[in-house]
Amino acid sequence: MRLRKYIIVLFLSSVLMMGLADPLGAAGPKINIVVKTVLASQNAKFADPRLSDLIKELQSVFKYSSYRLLSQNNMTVGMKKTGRASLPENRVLKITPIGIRGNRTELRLELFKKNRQIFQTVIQLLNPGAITVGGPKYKGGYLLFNISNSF
Amino acid sequence: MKKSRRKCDPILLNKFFDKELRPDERAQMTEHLRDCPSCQKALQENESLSALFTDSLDKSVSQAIPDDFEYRIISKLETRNSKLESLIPILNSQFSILNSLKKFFIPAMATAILILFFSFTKPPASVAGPSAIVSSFTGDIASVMILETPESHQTIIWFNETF
Repeated sequence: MRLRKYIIVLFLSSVLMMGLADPLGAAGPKINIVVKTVLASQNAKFADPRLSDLIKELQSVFKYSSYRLLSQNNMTVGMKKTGRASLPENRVLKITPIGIRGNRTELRLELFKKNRQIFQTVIQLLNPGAITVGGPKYKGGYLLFNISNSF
Repeated sequence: MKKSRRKCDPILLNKFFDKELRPDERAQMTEHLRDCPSCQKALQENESLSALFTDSLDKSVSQAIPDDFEYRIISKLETRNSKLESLIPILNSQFSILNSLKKFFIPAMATAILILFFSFTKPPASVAGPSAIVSSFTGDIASVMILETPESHQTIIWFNETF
């Protein structure tokens, strides 16, 4: 009888400890997301000092001479919630964290232009980590959206 | 009156009383005592004093240690033994509880510790592989490329809009 009591108390305390200890919890963590909108062009030679790390990475792939930070959107988004970043020419990037897979955040990215969906993608982004999405022409150059996350 | 062959010697007399003399000395002292009233008297005093002392000692011991002393000690020892014997089943039951706890408590605690450990610790950041894995991509676009930078494996999605 006493043994059964011990086991019940132990089980309940383990469950309680698991509940307190689980940082991901049932609701999941909040994801800190930063969207940097960059204009890359060959019109001039300019390296925005706020993009020094990113430029080094991009220069290994692209041959643009100018990288300029146009805007930055910071957001903290809960699991299955959608954050929005306003981008040039009535573009909107919707970001929805949909899960955690090991050390990666599973994100759904949706790009809209004038309420029309351009694309939708699901990515697994490292924590912390970043992805760059680019391609739209803008002011003689191209727009790049650098999306980074951490939780 | 016959005269004693030896002189009166109180030390020898005491040794005679204590039976510490050699046989020849003892014979001489016995012969001396036969003829020496003073030594006879001293010997008698010694004997009476010794008797008195012995009686008193016996009396004190008999008062200090009652007749049933041995019986009482034995009975106490028996009681203690029976108490110890009665404790054995209780101790056995305690050990069985401890054994049962060992069976359940230790694995349960180990499991709880493991769960806590994996809850608090994050897996190390993997340096291998791209920064992002693209699971799916759909849209109204002309083309799409997925690139990776050579150094830090940053993932880049490059697309061409159709309009």
